[in-house]
Amino acid sequence: MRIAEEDSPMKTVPACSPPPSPCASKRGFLKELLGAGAAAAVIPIRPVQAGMNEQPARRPGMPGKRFGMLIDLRKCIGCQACTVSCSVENQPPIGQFRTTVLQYEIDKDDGSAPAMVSLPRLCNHCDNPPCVPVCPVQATFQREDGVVLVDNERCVACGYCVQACPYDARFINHETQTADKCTFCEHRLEAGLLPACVESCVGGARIIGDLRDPDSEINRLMDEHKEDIKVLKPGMNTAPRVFYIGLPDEFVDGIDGQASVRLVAEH
Amino acid sequence: MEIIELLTPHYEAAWLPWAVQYFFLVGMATGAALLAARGAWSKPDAPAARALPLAIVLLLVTTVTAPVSLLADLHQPARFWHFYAHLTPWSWMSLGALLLPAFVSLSLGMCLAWWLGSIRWMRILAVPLVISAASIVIYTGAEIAVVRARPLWHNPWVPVNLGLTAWLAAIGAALLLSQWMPAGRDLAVRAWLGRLGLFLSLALLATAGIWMISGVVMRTPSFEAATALYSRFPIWRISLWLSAILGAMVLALWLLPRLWLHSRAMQITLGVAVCAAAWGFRWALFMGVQGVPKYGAGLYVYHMPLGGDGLMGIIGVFGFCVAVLTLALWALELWPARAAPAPGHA
Repeated sequence: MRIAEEDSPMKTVPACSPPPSPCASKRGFLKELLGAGAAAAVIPIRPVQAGMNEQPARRPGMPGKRFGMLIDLRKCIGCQACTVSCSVENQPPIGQFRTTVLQYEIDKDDGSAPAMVSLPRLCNHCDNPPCVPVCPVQATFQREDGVVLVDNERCVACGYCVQACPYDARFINHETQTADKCTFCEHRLEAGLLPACVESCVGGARIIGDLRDPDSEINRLMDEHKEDIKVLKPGMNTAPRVFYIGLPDEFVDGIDGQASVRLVAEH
Repeated sequence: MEIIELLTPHYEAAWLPWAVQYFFLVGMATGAALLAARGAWSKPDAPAARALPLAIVLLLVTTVTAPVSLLADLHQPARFWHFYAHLTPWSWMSLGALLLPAFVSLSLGMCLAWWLGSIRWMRILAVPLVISAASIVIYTGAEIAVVRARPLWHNPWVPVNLGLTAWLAAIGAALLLSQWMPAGRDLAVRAWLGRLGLFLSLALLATAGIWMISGVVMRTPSFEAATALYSRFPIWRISLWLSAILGAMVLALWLLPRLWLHSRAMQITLGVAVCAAAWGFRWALFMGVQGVPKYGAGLYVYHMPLGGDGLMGIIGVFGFCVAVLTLALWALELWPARAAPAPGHA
């Protein structure tokens, strides 16, 4: 069952709507296909793809809810308290993270002091998650409350979902040797608690809530800031359910800039 | 305005060099299957029929080793049975889990039919084997092409290039095998392989040309992504030029058969060059492209471990191929294949 369209805060927040079909990425592929049409060699590709890679039915979750997160970048100071508390709560191996805060320096040509951008990143719990249909054993799935999870007792760790996620939000956990990712701390949500990252955020930058509840804080804030709400890579047609306030346009589709110190450090 | 990344985590490649080996070997296996099917349906004095021992041995080696590499690419190889316990018809990989055993069975059946000298069974098996080989080419290509998170994979060119380079590698491997097998002493067989190689190389060149032209004219995402990598990163520039030089060298050799038809050293050079080009394409496609951040700047650096997940895995798979090949050739010396009956009996 698809609950994608009616549960969405999209009606109130047109700025973050994913593009209606045909989506950009499909358009991109079709464009390539058009080019390919010149070569008879690729004819088998198109008919075979039809009907494949569709979203399977969702599994039961917390009844009547659709979780989403709103991150106010104006309140994030990049302290990594969320990174630490998530690691304490969920115990990923050292060096692997379900959420973290990417940090960037922005140098303008006008001689002004460099600006800093701290960008908290986590699974977007997309409404059209590309990681789900690729899974060959249905170990990764989405619940009706929108949370995307991995059954790591079923996961064969083929890594296909890691490839399919456009946000690098998934990884193969070194200890369990299975796919791992942010769960929105669904075990805490079930117990009426906030996710660890939300609970520990010193600036109150992370808000989690029920997108189906018109009176929820997240819906109220999204409504209040509807002109300034963005998602990452909207052109991927994934319909992310992690929203950002104050995300510079240069950060929406990926970073066109200088790589971090990791390149230097690892040589 | 300049953006500088200060802090990002280290993202690892989820698909290991095992994947490169699998796609290399299974692609060659489809090529060998097509060669074997062609041979089965040819007149006994045609080059395709006389090349049958080469095609069959190559088919045997690659169909035995390819699934092992695939299994090793799972981080949980012992859970492979989950593929069959939880069939997922909308996932290309799940579909592949059904198509691959069918292909392996048909291939081994073909090898057996050849060994028993039953041209009738070879011809009967050739038909489903060709369909099965096509299904492998389509599923492996589609598996990559549906990943829209990576523009360099999400395009119809990747399946075509995977197919053509794999079949070229099969020709190259057959040339290498011809050094050790009596069938390879036949000049007509080598010349026939050379013609096939030339045809496939020209098809590959045409495909690359159409990709580039359509990329320039329509600014396709894959071409834009490739040019961005080319302009920003020396490693991608060097790789492209190396592959262009290798490709030109191979094409020149196909065009001038007199340079290699009578020289063992040149045949080995050509065979290795063609296989290396196909393998290198897969390395760039899998390991290289996994180093391209989906969101961040720069490239992720891939550090190849020396153990099973890296260098030893790569060498081990090639060693496994050599072992299976040695066993097959040794077994053929002890128990030679029965001679195929005259064409009238078929």
